[in-house]
Amino acid sequence: MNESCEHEDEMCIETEVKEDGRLLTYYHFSKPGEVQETTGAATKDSKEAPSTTKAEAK
Amino acid sequence: MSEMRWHPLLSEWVITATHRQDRTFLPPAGYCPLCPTADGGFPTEVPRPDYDFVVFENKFPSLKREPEEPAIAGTALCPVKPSSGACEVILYSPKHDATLTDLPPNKLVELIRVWRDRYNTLAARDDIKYVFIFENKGEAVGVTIHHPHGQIYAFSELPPLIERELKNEREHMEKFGKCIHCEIIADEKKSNERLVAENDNFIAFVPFYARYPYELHLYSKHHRSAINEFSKQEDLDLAEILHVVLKKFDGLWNISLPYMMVMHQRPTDDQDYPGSHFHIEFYPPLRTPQKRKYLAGVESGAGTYINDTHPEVTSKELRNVLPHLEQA
Repeated sequence: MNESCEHEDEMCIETEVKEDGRLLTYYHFSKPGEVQETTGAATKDSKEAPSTTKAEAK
Repeated sequence: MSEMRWHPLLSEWVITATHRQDRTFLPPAGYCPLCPTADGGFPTEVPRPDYDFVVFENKFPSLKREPEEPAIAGTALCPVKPSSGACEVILYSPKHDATLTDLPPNKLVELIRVWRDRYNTLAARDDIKYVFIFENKGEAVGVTIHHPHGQIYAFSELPPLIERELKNEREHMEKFGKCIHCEIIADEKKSNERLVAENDNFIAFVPFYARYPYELHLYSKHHRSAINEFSKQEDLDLAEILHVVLKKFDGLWNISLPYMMVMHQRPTDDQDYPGSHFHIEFYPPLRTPQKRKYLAGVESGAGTYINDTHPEVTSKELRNVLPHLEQA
């Protein structure tokens, strides 16, 4: 179980455990605008190497 | 309660899952358990709205990560065992009234990556032999919640239809030294009669042996056994042709066409399957806008399908639909 967000290219995965023990996994894909905002870069390469925290990815 | 009971006449497992009798059934608007939890509203399955896709274990699973012991003792003829596996739900959107068909190709590329991640994650479990990704769309195929979603069943045994397909793949490979799916694709391209859509890496057609009037098979042109073998370009091309096919389905009669969509790919039991070839099969249950194709006595009792149409005709109908594509 991941307590924090993981990154693989621009895909961010965040898994939680529900009260009844079931797993819930959020998937978020960084958008060009978000990456530009957090990294200051607008190239395709920078989009595929996103920043490393959930807050930035979101 | 849930367990697997052996069917000695068909040599296959039947899953009992009595708790599913109580699952949510067509809830009224405003009470969708798959919508994000609203401020001050009742708690739903998904507390947050800020996602692209979300996956969670089904509240009413047929197969469980930690199954209970069977509630009944088996016999020598009919053994029972725990219903080990997993049942997951994939939400395509926080929006209640969206459909897979509404997703533009760039979102479908993301979904393909989610499918791949779930395939790899579930395949890593020692008890999982087959990861079955599918979607039931529309009340005509038994959908009980309309919020756009697909499902994944992770089986601890090879499902019977899959096992049968694997057997035929293996026997064809042994006899001819070729992939049976690659040969089917070559035949369809050569005849050019039943093709519906095609791009550099994927092809879609109504197969010669279609069991449903508008059954459609979408294949990787290259011999890829599973979704985790695709290149980035193949992801893009799969998303593009999937979008075209889904739009053609809805454009056929200008309705949101119900269907079953199932993904066939390599089992995950670490055995060698050189004949496995990734493809997606669609089974729309309608034969006209008003008439359903029922799996009645002959189909259910004898296993022989009767198709009231010719694939050469229905494929032409689908081919001639000019889809209204979403922009990427």
